[in-house]
Amino acid sequence: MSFRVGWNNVLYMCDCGNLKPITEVYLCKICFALRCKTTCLSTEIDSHYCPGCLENLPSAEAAYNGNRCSNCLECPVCGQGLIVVGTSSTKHAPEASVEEVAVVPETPVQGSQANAEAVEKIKLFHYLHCLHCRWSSRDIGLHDTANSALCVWQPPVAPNAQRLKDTIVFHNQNIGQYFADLEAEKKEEMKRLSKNKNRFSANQEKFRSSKMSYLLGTPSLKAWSKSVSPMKEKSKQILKVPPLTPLKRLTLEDLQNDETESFSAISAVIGQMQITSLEQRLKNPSLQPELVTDLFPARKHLATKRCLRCLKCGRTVCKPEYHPLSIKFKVQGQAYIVVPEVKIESFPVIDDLAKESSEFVITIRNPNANITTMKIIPWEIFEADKPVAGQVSCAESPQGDADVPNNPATEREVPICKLRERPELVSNAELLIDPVAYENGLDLDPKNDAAEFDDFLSVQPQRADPSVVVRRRNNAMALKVRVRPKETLKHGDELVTSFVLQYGYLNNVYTIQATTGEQDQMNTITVKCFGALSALHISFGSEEVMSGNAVSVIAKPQLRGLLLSYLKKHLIIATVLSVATGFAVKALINDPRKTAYANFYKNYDPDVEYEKMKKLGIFQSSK
Amino acid sequence: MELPDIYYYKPIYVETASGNKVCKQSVLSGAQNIILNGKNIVMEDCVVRGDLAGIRTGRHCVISQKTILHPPFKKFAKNGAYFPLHIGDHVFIGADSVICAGTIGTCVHIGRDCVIGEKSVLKDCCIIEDGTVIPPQSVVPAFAIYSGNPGRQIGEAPESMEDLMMEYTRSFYRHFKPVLDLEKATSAASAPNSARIWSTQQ
Repeated sequence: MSFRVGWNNVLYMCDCGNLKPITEVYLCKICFALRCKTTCLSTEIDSHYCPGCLENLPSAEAAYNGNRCSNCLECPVCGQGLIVVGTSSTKHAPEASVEEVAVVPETPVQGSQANAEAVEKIKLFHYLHCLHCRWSSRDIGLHDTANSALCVWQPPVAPNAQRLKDTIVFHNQNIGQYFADLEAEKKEEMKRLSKNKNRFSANQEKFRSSKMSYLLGTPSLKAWSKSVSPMKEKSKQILKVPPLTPLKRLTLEDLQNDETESFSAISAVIGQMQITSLEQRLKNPSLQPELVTDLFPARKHLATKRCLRCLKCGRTVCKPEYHPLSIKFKVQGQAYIVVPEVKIESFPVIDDLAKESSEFVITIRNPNANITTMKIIPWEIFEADKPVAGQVSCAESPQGDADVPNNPATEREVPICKLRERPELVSNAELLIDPVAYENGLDLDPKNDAAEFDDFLSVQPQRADPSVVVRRRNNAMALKVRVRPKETLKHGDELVTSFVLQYGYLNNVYTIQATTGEQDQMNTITVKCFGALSALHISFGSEEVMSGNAVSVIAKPQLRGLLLSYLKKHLIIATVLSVATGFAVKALINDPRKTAYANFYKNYDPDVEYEKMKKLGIFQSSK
Repeated sequence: MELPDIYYYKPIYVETASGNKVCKQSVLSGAQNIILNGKNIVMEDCVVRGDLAGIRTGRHCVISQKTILHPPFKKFAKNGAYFPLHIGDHVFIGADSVICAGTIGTCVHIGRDCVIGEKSVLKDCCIIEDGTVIPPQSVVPAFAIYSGNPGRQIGEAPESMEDLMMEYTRSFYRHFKPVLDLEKATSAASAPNSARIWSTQQ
């Protein structure tokens, strides 16, 4: 898709070591470190809403309705929303209702007003209809109803519904007990959390799930088995699920000899179009209809709005507004809004590996409303300057640690869950930076929303920039950078380089330090970037380059007016050629022939010739 | 990746005072009912049916080649009526799409070869992927990614979708440049990189 092309060209290294595009990275403004959804952020459900009618539901009501909307139905065939169609036709209406309608006078009534009253009295019947696949409730033999409310169409009750309900209640109780035990174990941790209880007390149930996920991460097997054993004993006291006893014992032979209706139905030939697909069956897990005629519309699943919480400091990183229609955020921690975005404008052209270095252009955009000073440091130099050199690993302390306020309320254990996607990109090219140009850092102009409406604002005043700055436009700046392939780069590899972006960030978020009278302070944030310098794999070597040139030489064929342009060209050629040929014939053939004739007749005397011929006796009639 | 320059042949485009760039080779019927709110781009072979009902687009919208903007038709008991089509700011519509929606919110990206059904509602910041068919009268919630036929939700757009689309449509307008020699400009712009990439595909 066009606007997502090249999103993965520049990847940012999260604090946990995962590589993500800037749209999937968040900045925790307390830890000053990048966070990603995979490992370092926990997700909490803020609100439930129906994606069809966009109605906002409290979580208790959503849970009561099984996380489904009570107003919207989905087509059982294609899954799209169903609409209620009103009709005056009584063909599909139940017989009892038709009798009622028959009472309405159908004979023409005199006068327009009376006619209008008659029309109002005509009863409308309603049925469900899918505007995509044209499925309707009449297809499964449902009668049209006089009531247009969607609650009329109740799905059939599953045969084991009660048993299923009991089992779910049983497990819910046990899970509650399991969490209660764990809560006791983590009593001290809970006390600390309870200091912030006011913030989370809006929904205890919601809070518990997120709190538990935060505390536990992925529970170990030992902890699980420990908690399960007492659970079994307690469960006997809580609730007993009635054992299932078969009504009749059947063997395979019995089934084969059985000629009852059920067996004959299986062996009956059914058309392919009458059998439901697996997806259609699994939409209703309790019934799992096999035939199309048994399909029944399902209630629409609810969608959720979720907020993200940092697993290290426990603060909210990103929180949307509750209303389903709103696209605003209460807490904005998206990296795209706070971290300078690096884009690759032109790719380096490397013809062969022996070449020393190649130049390319990157653009950096400042998302903040103040001037940002930033530096680009090659990865190798950054690693060498650090006290412990080596590869970045999960256990490494984040860069922003020094900036974290040393407050017990914000201190957290390192999360137990340490899942990490291995970085697939390995830098195989070295970034060459002119150290003089970046000595004092480069200033990025602030973001100015008014610049869009005023063309003069977008043109920046000239400033003494080093030569690496190609141009500036609003809050963006284009930089020239050089890249040199390492020895590890092989033929056909993707060219990847890595660098570190350091920039000053003015923190205007309410912090505990700020309450003590300190002003907003500038923090230095280090962002590690991996730039894939080719959308596709770049090949090296002269052969490929040659074939590449051959491809680029082929011009687009002429699709229209080919004969006309052909005639235009060849008419001129034909004219020139014919004129040339004419002159050549004249000069080479005609003119010599004429001179030959002229020379011949110059000394020619017919009388002498006649006498000569006469003497020879050529003429028989004259003597 | 920074957006490359996109060149258009200057004589076939009209640029209005508010910055709309409209191709002369598109069909804009009922021009008095069409309101383009500034810095919009309407490319070649587009059809905008303003003669049926009002069509209003916000700022920085891009309507790509061969796309049809058609006000939705609602059938009543005896006859029917066309309803106005509203499109918000920073909306990108891909090539060869048919848009019959009732309302399209702001910062929406619609891919190419899409069909947006009659009176359907696309909320803000949603993404419709290439080749999606949105059935009539359906609702696409905010931050949803829809794909397939019929369109179903396959994911969620990033939280920064609003800023992404604003940046994308603005840079698209900035890189949409007029030239008099189209072939020369396009070949000069894409020669060095495309040759290299072509060579690896074979």
